[in-house]
Amino acid sequence: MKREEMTSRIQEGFFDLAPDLFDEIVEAAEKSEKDVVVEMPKQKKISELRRSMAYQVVSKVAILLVVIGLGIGIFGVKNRESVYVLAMDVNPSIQLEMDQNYYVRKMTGLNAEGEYVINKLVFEEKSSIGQIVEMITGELVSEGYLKENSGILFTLLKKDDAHNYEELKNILNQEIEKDVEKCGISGVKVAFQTIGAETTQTGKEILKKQMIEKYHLDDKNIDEMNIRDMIDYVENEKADDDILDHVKKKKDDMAQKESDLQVHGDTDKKSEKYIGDQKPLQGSKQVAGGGVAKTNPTPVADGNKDNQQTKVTPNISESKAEPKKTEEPVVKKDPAKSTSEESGDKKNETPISNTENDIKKKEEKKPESEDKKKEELPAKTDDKVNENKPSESENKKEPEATPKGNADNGQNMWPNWNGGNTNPTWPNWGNGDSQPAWPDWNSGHGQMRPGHGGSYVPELPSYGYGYDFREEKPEPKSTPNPTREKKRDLQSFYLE
Amino acid sequence: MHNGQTKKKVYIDEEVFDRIQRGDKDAFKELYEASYKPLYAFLLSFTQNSEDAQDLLQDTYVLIYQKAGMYQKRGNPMAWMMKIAKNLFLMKYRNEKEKKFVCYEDMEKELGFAQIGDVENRLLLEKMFAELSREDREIIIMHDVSGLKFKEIASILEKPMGTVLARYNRNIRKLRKKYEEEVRE
Repeated sequence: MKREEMTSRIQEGFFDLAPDLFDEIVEAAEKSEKDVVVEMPKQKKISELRRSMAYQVVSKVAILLVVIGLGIGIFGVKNRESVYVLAMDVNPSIQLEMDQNYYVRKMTGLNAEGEYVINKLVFEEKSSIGQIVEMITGELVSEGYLKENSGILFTLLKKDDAHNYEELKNILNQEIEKDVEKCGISGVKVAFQTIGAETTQTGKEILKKQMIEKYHLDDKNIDEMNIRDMIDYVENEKADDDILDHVKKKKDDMAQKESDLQVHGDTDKKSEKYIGDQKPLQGSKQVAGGGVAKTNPTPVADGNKDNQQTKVTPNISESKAEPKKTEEPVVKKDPAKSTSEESGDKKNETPISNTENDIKKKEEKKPESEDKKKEELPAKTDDKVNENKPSESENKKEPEATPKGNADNGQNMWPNWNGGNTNPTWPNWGNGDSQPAWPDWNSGHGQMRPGHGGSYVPELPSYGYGYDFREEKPEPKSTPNPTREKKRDLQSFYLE
Repeated sequence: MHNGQTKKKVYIDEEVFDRIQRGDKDAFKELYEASYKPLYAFLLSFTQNSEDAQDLLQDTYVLIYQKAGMYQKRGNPMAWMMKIAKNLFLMKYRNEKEKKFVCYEDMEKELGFAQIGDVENRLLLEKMFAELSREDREIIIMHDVSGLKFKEIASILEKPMGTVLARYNRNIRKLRKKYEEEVRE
């Protein structure tokens, strides 16, 4: 049955049901014409909404990352020196081209509103992306384009894997968060999509095309939507697809496990126990494998890049250092001390003069107790995969990967389950093909997505999928981190 | 058998409210004829009981008759009327929990589905009440039965339009799947 026929039948069915009560209604209306006073239920005032928890969650900048691997592409890039190209769509659509240090080399209005906004900007020749985005955001707000509860869509042209797009996303996230707060607007949602090749379309047009192709939406319906509506739509659909995919995959895993059991009989007692407990543990080990597969393939290149970025604003260097913090095993760190340690690491990564280096070395020698603690940790190498390996003793005890604690500063809120991925991404749940899924399913409350006030989130059964909590050890790393809870709504969502 | 006709559009002339305010009963009749079917569907979805839905329908029109002068011309009288109907429902049945129909006999009795002539139409409506939540039904009824735009629905439900559209599409897919499963059986 086609959709049109179905909806037409629904209408027809309801129309059959409706009784004609006109005479009774007229009679009742005449009778009580002067008597009836119906008090309407009070609508929630905006001030009340603002106070409510749901609104507070939405009012912060919620980040949604929509990654679309397309054959089509972005904006005609004329300046070949541009390393990064992105479009910022609110309704004005503006294209920014940057060099490798995120200095904006060129700005183009992709539509009339975009040109209008650009023409109003006054900026120096060499401005960082942070400065430019700040100016654009301010202008968008003052011109009334960017309001409460609106959306910003960033479309990144991903030329190759060698460049650090994640860092750029972090910079943009932080900048937007800061700017909208400064402008006093709330509920702005930011989304990212990446594409593969150049085009003359705006980000909105690209997303629209995707929505038509993937979700079979009508042109007409999408035309009614603004950027925020489109982001919400994709987020909803993605979440739904991801949940279904995940459940299906885990069911398959369970079925596979059961069939394996039938083949092997009683020999595999461990597996038998898992099934009995309804805790599908297959994948705990694979999780680490999947994470390894997903790690940034060019850590060395990134390191070099860091050294080149001495002129980048502090904002950028902060965002650079944060993902690395999350990789460090923090099993025995005092959370209070970890901040100072991490900031020390960060400093080491930035190029400094020899004398400065000496001073720093002397300073680092002071906290001996901390050094001792560091010795207990696995040696840090350039290879990010090795950084996340459990210690040898842990390895012997439990071959399966255990979750890393959350000792970062809130930037990367989710535990680093996938072993070595520097991105604040979703854990790999199974065989490493980076199926995105929502964590904390074991709680069974169905509240899986922060920063998503009022939208429909299906209640999920407490299958305990995806993560073996039995292996978790009662160490400080596994205790809930207040920072994490506080900043959860600022987490980037990778809906790949 | 479905005759393949497309959906009927609900059209209400906004001037009708001015006429009603001036005491024109024909105008009220005109408004009623144009809107009572979708409004009843909307209320039935809320109350899940035909008698309660009829009571509320009556209350809604009485209120519209009395408050016609309060209508502000914004191009969507149906949305205004639905808001009134929903508010009345919330006042009267605020604490009533959503029913879960366990068998089709209950639906026949309480929703009056025996009146639906076409078997397929009836099956679809049964699936709608059995499988979808109140709010999901509400979105489908507002869009497919009352002809409201998603933007208007989003404003009534105070939800982002993207969310409303996504839920609509998801539930239509679900409904079709359930319907086809039933037909196959």
